[in-house]
Amino acid sequence: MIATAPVLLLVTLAAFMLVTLLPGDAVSALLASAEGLDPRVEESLRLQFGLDRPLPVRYVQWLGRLSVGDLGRSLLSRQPVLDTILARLPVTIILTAGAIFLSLAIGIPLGLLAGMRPNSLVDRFLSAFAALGVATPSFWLGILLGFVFAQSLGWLPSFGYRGPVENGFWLMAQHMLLPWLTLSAARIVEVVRQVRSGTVEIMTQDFIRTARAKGLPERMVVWKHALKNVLVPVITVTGLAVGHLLSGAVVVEVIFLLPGMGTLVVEAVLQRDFPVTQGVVLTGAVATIGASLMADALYGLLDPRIRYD
Amino acid sequence: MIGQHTCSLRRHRVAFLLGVVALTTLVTAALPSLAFQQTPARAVHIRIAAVEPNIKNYDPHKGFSGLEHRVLYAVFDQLVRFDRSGNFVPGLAESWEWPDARTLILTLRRGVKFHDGTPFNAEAVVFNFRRIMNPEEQSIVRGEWAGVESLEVVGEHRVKITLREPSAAFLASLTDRSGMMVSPTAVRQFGEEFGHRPVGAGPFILQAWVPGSHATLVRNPDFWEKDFPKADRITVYQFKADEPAVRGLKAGGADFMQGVPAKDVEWVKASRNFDFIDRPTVSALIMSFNLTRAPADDPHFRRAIQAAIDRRAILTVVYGGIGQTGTSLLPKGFWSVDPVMLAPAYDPARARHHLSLSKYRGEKIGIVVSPDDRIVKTAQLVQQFLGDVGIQMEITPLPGPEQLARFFSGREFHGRIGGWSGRPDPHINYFAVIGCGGSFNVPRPRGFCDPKVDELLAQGSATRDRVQRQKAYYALDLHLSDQAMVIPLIHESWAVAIRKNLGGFTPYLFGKPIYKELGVK
Repeated sequence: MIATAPVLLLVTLAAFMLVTLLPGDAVSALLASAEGLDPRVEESLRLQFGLDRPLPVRYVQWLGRLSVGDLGRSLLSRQPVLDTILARLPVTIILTAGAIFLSLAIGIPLGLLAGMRPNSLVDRFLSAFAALGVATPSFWLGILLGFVFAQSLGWLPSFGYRGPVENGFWLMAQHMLLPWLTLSAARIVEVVRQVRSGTVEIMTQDFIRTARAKGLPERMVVWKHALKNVLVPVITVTGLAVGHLLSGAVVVEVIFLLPGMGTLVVEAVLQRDFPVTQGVVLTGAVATIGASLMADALYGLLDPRIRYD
Repeated sequence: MIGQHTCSLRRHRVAFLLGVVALTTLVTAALPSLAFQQTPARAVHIRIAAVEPNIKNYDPHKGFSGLEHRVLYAVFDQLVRFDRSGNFVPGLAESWEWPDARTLILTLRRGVKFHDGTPFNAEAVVFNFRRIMNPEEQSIVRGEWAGVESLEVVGEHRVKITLREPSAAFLASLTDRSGMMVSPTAVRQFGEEFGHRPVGAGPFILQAWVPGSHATLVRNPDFWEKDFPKADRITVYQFKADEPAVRGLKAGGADFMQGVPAKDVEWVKASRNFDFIDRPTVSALIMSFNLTRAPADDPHFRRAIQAAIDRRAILTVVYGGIGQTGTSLLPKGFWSVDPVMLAPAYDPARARHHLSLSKYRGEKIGIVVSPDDRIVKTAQLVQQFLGDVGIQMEITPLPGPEQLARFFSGREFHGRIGGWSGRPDPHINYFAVIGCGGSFNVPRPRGFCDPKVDELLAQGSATRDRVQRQKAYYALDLHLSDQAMVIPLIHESWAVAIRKNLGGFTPYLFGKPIYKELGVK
């Protein structure tokens, strides 16, 4: 756990450098929003935002406040960054968690189906489908799903977020189903491919032959002996996928008008709102590191050989 | 052994079945029911699809973007309002008088309260004005108050403003952010949070705002205009792009959208559910130059560009014919624009003639554009028109901050094709774009200073007499057109889709819908 601290430090430093490499600062971003700032206001805003100080000083000051748990305030909305992130975080968690669930719930059975009978019609169909899925950009898929299920059929709402606490699970799920599908599509095919190739390989192994030889029914062989082994790489890709999902969330949130972290960070970068950018990057890094830690812990559950003491 | 296996097999099967059941319930439960709950009869709830990215706060004195106005107008009433054609009409100020050219006395409406019950009176108004003028408050509109010498409460409902010199544009600022009155109690109570918990005296109360999602406005039962607002509740869905907003409309999730993209206009017109309205606004698409940089400093060269562009084609191809071709910074129909003035003619022969007189020698000129679909398409057409007469043009799409750092600073590029959002008074518009020291005049901060422009600008702002002002602005438009200093291309119309059972939408020239007027027909 301690080892993650330098990683986080490096990530925030990199984010800080990247944002400052972009031309312009928060004040010029404001000016460019066409309302036309008074030059005197322009100067005093720079002072107020602390943009007159040199870059290293600003970074160190930000770190100093961070060490006492203060993420600062957004330059533009004047809201505490922590509050802003906490308000947006649940949406993104629901979005990515749902996408992970869907990708596993759909991907694992399909992958097993294909892997059990390699080169069969089902396998070829699923492989072709998977290739198509990998090649489909999520913004296009999102628009297409919205067009079919919201606009043409009218089965689902085309936009908006309903929190599960105030509106109940079902209303939330209705609004999230299209975003979930959009975000999970690429992950589903990833899981299908992993499970398929794992199954194909494992089904020829000795212990499977042994299991069959001792008279176990085929389902038992697959679900108890094969699946556990197949799942290890699936957990690896899912752990890694958290990072991808967070970046994919940006597009999905824009298409379905979800007030999550993805749109927050895009706005913050475009407007050079440095405290917000840093806050989101930090949260994303913590989530990604947390996901790989969790994946590591799960290996142990599945495979006794990699249990940690 | 066998028994144990069967048992665990059963367990797995049960778990698998449970998984399948859970998934199917999830899908089927979501599918059949139409997700949009109809509001109960009588209470009028209007859902608006708005493309409003980057809204950061709803403090009228401290906001940043012109897109905030739609909600600001609903929450905050203004001292002075404008009617459809841009004339001043009373708002929270019942009347006003100018005892002399430098003194303005506002008489305030009686019996008005802010949403939190704070009485609206002269003291509240002066609190607002002082808040704007206080340098520590960093108000975005402090510049409008630079010419104010003093403020004085002259009675419970009268306020006297003394200006340093006569200004025709000052009253116009009271129709905008400067005239939007905030509750002093709420400002003191909420401090920096005020922009997220705005309290005004307008027709609606901001009940909830989820940044990045929506704003919910509910009727203010104590609003002083008894006939307004027409709706009980308005939800503004704040989309970040056109596409999802239009889909929201088509899928039945919204009742109103202003700014339907050209490609979807035909759909609205053919729709059984929506009416289509279009009206010009003060916003303009213009081509402007760094007038200090060769060859754009040469009037012959700019005249060649002006004559080479076929505005009609741009209007048809990019805007689907919705809007008007530009003659001035402001559209035809606005009081300061000469109704008989013609848009510069499309005349390639004339363009070639001017080009032969110019110092242009075949080099590539760099034009910066905003990365907006319509603007980029327009720029591509312009590129083609200029190519036809022998001018090589290169397009660079850049977001605002980069434009500011690279073009407005005067460092790179020869010109820009971009939007100008338009302001209520002609002086504010012309000064910003072409006045000496205007914020959009390149290179910042001073820009290119043309003595004739400054003289006509001074004439236009020295008097409140509309005929005198018209004379100045007509002359200014002719001068700008003759010198081709700014080339107006298109005045975009807001294409509006409104559900057939709704009415009351008035298109204002300022392009911002007034939500209190929306209601059931």
